[in-house]
Amino acid sequence: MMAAPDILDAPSGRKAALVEAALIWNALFLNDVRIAFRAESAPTISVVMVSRGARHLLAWTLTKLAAQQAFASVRFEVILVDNASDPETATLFGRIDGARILRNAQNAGFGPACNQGAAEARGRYLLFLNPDVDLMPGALDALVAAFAQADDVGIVGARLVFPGGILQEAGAGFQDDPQLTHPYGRGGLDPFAPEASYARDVGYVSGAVLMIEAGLFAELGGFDDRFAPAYFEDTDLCLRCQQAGRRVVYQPRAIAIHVENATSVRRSDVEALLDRNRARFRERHGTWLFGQGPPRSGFAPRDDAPFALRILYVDDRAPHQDLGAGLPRANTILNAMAELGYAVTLCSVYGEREEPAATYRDLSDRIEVIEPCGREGFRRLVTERAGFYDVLWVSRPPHIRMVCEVLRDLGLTPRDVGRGRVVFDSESLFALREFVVDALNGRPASGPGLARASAEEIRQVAVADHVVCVSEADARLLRRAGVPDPVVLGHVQAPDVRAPHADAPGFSARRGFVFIGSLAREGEPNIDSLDWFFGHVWERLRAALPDAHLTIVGTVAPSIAERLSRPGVTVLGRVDDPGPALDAARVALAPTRYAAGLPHKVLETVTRGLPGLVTPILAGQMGWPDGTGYRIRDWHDPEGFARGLVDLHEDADEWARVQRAGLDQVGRECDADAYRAILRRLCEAPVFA
Amino acid sequence: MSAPAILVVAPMPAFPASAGNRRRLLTTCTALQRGGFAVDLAYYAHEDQIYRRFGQHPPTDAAEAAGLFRHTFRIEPHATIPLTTRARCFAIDDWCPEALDDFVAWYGQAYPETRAILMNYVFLSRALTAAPPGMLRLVDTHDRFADRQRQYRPFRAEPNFFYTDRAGEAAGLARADIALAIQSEEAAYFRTITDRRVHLLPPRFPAHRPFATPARLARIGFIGHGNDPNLFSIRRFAAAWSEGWTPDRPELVIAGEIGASLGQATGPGIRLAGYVARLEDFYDAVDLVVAPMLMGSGLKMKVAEALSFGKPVVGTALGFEGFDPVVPAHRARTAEEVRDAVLALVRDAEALARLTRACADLLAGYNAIAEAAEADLLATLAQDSLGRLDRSDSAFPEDDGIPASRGHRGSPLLEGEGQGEVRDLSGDGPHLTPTLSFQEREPRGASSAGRLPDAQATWETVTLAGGTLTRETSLRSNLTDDPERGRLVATERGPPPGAGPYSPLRRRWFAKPGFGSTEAAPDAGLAGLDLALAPEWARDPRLPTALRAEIATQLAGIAADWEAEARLVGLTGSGAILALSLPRHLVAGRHTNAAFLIGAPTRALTLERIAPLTAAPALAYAAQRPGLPRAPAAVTFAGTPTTLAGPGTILVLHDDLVGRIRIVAEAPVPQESPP
Repeated sequence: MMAAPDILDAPSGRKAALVEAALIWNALFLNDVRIAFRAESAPTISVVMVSRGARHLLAWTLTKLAAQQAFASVRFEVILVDNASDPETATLFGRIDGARILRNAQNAGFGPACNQGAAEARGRYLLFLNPDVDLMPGALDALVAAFAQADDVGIVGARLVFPGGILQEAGAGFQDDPQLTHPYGRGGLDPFAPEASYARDVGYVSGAVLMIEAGLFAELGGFDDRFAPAYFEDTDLCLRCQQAGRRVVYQPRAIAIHVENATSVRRSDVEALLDRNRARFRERHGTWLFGQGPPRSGFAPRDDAPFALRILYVDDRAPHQDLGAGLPRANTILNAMAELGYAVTLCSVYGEREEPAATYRDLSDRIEVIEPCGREGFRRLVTERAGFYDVLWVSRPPHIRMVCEVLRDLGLTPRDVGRGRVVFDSESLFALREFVVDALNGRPASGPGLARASAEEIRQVAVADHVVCVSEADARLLRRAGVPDPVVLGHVQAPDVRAPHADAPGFSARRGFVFIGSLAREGEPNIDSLDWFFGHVWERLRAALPDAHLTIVGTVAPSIAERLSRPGVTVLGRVDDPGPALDAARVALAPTRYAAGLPHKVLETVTRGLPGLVTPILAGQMGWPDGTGYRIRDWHDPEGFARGLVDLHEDADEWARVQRAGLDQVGRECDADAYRAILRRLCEAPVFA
Repeated sequence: MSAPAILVVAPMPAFPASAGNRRRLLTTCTALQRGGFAVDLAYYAHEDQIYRRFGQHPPTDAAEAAGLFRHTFRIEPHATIPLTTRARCFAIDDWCPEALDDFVAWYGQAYPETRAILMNYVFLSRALTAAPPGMLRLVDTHDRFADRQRQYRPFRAEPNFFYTDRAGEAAGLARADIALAIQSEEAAYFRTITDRRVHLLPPRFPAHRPFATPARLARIGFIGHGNDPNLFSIRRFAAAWSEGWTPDRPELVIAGEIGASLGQATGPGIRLAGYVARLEDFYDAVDLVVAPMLMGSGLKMKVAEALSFGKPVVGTALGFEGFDPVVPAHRARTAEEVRDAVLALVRDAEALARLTRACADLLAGYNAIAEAAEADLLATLAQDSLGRLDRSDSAFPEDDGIPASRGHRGSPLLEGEGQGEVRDLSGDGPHLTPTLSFQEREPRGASSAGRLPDAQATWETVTLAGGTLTRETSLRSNLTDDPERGRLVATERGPPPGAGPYSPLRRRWFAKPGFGSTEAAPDAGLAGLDLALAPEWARDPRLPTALRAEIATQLAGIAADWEAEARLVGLTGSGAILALSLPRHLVAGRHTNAAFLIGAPTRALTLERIAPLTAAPALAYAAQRPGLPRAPAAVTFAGTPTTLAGPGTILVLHDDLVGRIRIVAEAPVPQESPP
C-alpha cells in the first residue's frame, strides 16, 4: 500500500525548482561544462523549444532533456528557437552541442517561433516543449506509444505536475461558460490521483508538452498566427486536429514537471492576452464546440469520447492475474472491456491503494481505478457522476448488497446509475461455498438451508438486467432458483495473453507433480486441499512412487510454507512466471474439497498442456468431461486419488490423450471473438432504445 | 443448354429502386442478365425490419422482383438487428444472421447447377462460406466500411450504419473469390487488405443531356436526401456560402428532402426548393452543381447524376472520389475552397467553359471505364460458368477492370446494352440507416399487378360488426391501402402453408370499415400466427376505433415477443395501475404504442404512465428474443372499466413488437416456495 505522497505547496515547490535551476546554471559555468545532445541521423522525435529569457530554468530544462538520451529508446533531435532573449541567457547557447539553435532578433511570439522550429524538423513526431519542463523517465516513449495504439491519434499530451507534487493538468476540456477551457485535476494534492492516472481522449492538451504527428501539423498549417504572441494557439491546434478527424489523447504515463510562468511578464498583460485570444477562439470554434453533438455539461466533458460506452464496475479490488479468488477473471473482463473501446471506471471496494506502477502492471491504462473507494466512495461516485454511466456492473453478492443499500439510501435504483444496463455478476455463489464448509466441518447443512441461502442472494440479483456467473454449475443453480437467463462468463483467459501452449513439452521431458494456487491465508480452500492431500494421499503416493516430487507454486504465508515443507516437496512461493515450473512437471494436482467460483488453476495448467487430477467439484465448475485436460477422482476415496495420480504420471499414452483433449478444449473456449460477443451482448444498450 | 445461373443475395430489395444501393443492385443484376445469366435474387429482409422498427411500412416490391428474376426468395431476420454499437466498431459478422447461412446452404442443395453467388455488402460475407464447394463467390462491397466511424468525428456526430476495422473488412473479403468495388479508390484500398481478386465495377451513367457551358452563373444547386454525409456537408457549405454573400453572387438552391432537415437554419443567398418531382426540372433550373462533400464513402451518385444532366460540377476531392478528377475545381479540400472555386467562375466565362469541357471529359472517361469493367466481369463469369476459369490464370491482370485494350465490344454478352439504365437517380449513400431519409415514392402499383396477375393472388374475407377483414395471399408487399379490401393491418412474417421455406409469398390482412354483421364475429384464425403489424396500429391509425378494437380481439392470441403477468395495484378515475415487469426500454423512454384490453367488447387503452419500481414483483415475465430484458414498473392505463379486476389480457403493440400482459387474479400474499 502507498499513501498519497507528501507534497509541497506550489510556491515552495516553485522556489525549490528555481533554486535547483540556479544551481545548475552556476555549476555549468563554474565547472565549464557543456550540454551535449547526441546527434541523431534519423530522429523519431523533433523536440521544438522556444526560449525567451529565464536563463536558469532554460539551463535546467536543457540539462534534464539531455539526460533523457540515457533513457529514451526513441531517438530525438533538439531545435531551440530563441525569441530575442537577454544577453545573459544568450551566453548559454554557446554551451550547447548537438542542438539546432535558431535565434530571432525580435520576439516572434510563441506560435510563430514553434512553426519556425517545426519547419526545420526531421522527426515523424514534433514535441513542443516549454523551456521550464522536466520530463520523467520514459515520457518520450510513452508519448510515441500513444500514437502506436491507433492510427487516428493526432495529438498526445502529458500528465503535468507542479514542482513539489501538486497536480497541474491531466488533459483538459471545454464547457460553455466564461472560462471556456477547463484543465482537469489542476491543484489536486495527489499527482497519482485516479482521475489523472488513466488514458483517455480529451478536448485539448497543454502546449507545455504537446506531441503531434509532423504530417498532421503541416496539413493543419501549424499554429495559427492570429493567436500570437501567445495563449490559445495550442487549444486551437487541438480543435483543428479533431476537426480533421484525429483524436487528442491524454497519456498519463508521460509525466512532466512544469514550473509554469517561467518568463516574468506582468500578470495584467497575460490576462489581457488571454481575454483577447479566448474571444478569438470562441468566435472560431464556439459553434463547433457547443452547437452540435452531445452537450458538454456535468461530468461528461472530462472524457472526450461522448459515444463510448461508460461502465462503472464494482469489485473487491484492482484485479490482477497473479491474485486468486476470481480476480484473474475480473482482470480479463476489464481488459476485454477496455479493448472493446468501453470507458471503464473500477470502484475498488476493499482494495488498498497501490502505486500506479503496480495497478497498471496488467490492467489496461484506459481503465480508471478508484482505489480505495469503499462504500463511501461509491456513494460519492454515483452522486458526483450522476447520469454519467451507461452500465453498472457489480461483482460478488456482498457488493451487490452494498450497492443496493447505498442506492436505496440515496433514493435511487441501480437503473438510475446503469442507464443502459445493470449487470450483476454472482462471481460464485457464496452461499454454496458456505454450505460445503459447514458440511465438511460437521455442522448441519441441510438442503433446505442451502436453498434459503441462495434464495437470499438471488433476491438481490433479480433486479439486474443480466445475471452473470462463472460456470455451468452455477448457472444451473441460479436457474433452479428462478433467475431466468444467467449468462456464463467463465474462465476464458485474456486470449491474446494465453493461447493454448503450442509446443508444450512432451511426457518424457517432464517429471513429478505440481500444485498451483494462493496459500496466503489459513482457512482458504487451497490450504484445506493441501492439508487433506498431505494427510491422506501423500504417503500413499510416495509408497507407489518413492521418487515422487511435488512443487508448490503461489503466494504462501511463511507459517504455511513451513507446515507444508517435507522431503520431496519444494515450496516455490509466488513467481512472476509460473511457466517453467508447469513445463517441468508431468501432473498437476488439484484436490479441492470445497470452493466456489472459477478453478483458475485448472484452466491455467490445462492451457499450458499440463494434465491434472482434479476433484469432481472442480470438474463440475469447469464443465468439461473426464479426460479433457484432467482426470477426475473423488477426494472421499484417498486411495483412488493416489492411484489416479500414479496412473496419470506413468501411462504415457493416457497422458498424451488427456493433454491433447485439454488443449483442444481450451482452443475452442478461448475464442476471443466469442468472448467479446458475450460481453457486448451483456453491456451494450438495448437495441430498441 | 439453359442459361448459367447466379444467386444474388442482398439486404435491400431491388424494387422500388428508390435509393442508391438498390439501384446499384438492380444495375448489377440486369448487367448479369444481359451477360446471359439467369439471376436468382434473395432478399434478406434487413431493411424491412428497420422500417418496421421505426413504425413505417417497408417500401419493398416483391411482385416486381418476381417479374424480373428467375426465382426470388425472402429470408426473414428473426433476431433484432443491432443498429448501433458502443464498442469501437462492429465485428464483421454482427449483421449476418445464421439464417442467411442456412439459406445459402439450402439453396446450394436445391439448385446445385448455379455457378456463382454474389453477396451484397461485406457484412453478409460469412454466408458465402455456406455455399457449396465449386461455386464462385463474389462480394459487391458498395462501400468501404473499415474506419468509417472516423468520418463522423469532425462533426461530433454519432457513427451511423455499419462500420468495422481493417481486420474485419479483410476477413470478410477473404471469403470471396472476387470482390467488386464501386469506385477506383476503394478498389485500390481493398487491394491493400486482401489478396483476393478485386474487380472495379463502377455503375454506368448514360448521358441525359449534352453538356453546354452556361451563359452565366445565376443559380448553383445541390440536391439530396437528409442523410448524414449530405447534411453535414451542405451545412458547412451553406454557412460558407452565406458568409459575405452579396446579391451579385449566384443563389444557392438546395433541393430534395434535405431541406426539411436543414430547417430554418439558412442564411442569405440560399433558397430551399424542397422536394422536386422531376429531376430534370431541378437540373434545368440551375447553372452549376456543387458537391461539397466532406464525408461519405462509396460513389457519389449525385456527382454522376449532375454530370449526366450535362451540368458543370464543382466539388471536393471526396465528392469526386472514383471519378479520377484532374482539375482543381474537382479536388477542393474544404467547403470554403468549393465556394472560392465557384466565385472564381462567376466573371470568368472562359474558365467556366474550360470546366464544362473538363466535366464532359470526366464523364466520358468514367463511362468508358465502367463499360469496359462490366464487360470484363461478364467475360470472367462466363468463362467460369463454362468451367474454364483458372483462378491462377494471368488472363486476370492485377489492375483489372480498366482493360481498355481488351475490348469485349461486339461480344454477345453485351446484347441489350443500356437496359440497365435506371430512371431515378436521386440520392446516394448507404440506405439501411435508421434515419429513413429517402423520400417515399408512390408505389408503382400497376406494375406489380402487371407482373403478377391478380389471378395468382387469393383472398378470403370475414365480416365483422364494423366492417370486413380480408386475408390476401400474394406478392403485393408494397401497399398499405387497397381500394377494394381496405387498409393493411398485418403481414405474416413467414410464408403461407404450402409455399417453400424462402418463398416471398405472404399472407396479409386488410380491414375495411362498413356495415357488418350483427352476429358474433367469426374467428379469423389469427391465433398463434407470427405477424408483423402495420403502421395502422401504433404510428398511423386511420380505421374507426370500434373496428380497430374488433380486430384487436382477433389479434389477442397471436405470437407475442414478450409476455408478462401483472397484478392490479390500484384504480384511477379513468383507469387502472398494474405492477409488472416490462421490456426495459419501455420503462426507460417513450415509445409509440397501441394497447387493447381484450374482452367483450375489447377496449382501446391509453398507456398513460410508466413508473419504474425498485423490486421485481413476483410475477412471470418471458421474452421470445434477446434484447428485451425486464424492468419492474407500475403502469397506468387509461380506458379500463372502473371495476376492472383480474383476470384479463392486454395487448401492447410497439416497436415492431407484440407484448401480452396477463392480469392475474387477486392472489393471497405469495408463499415462499417450498425448499
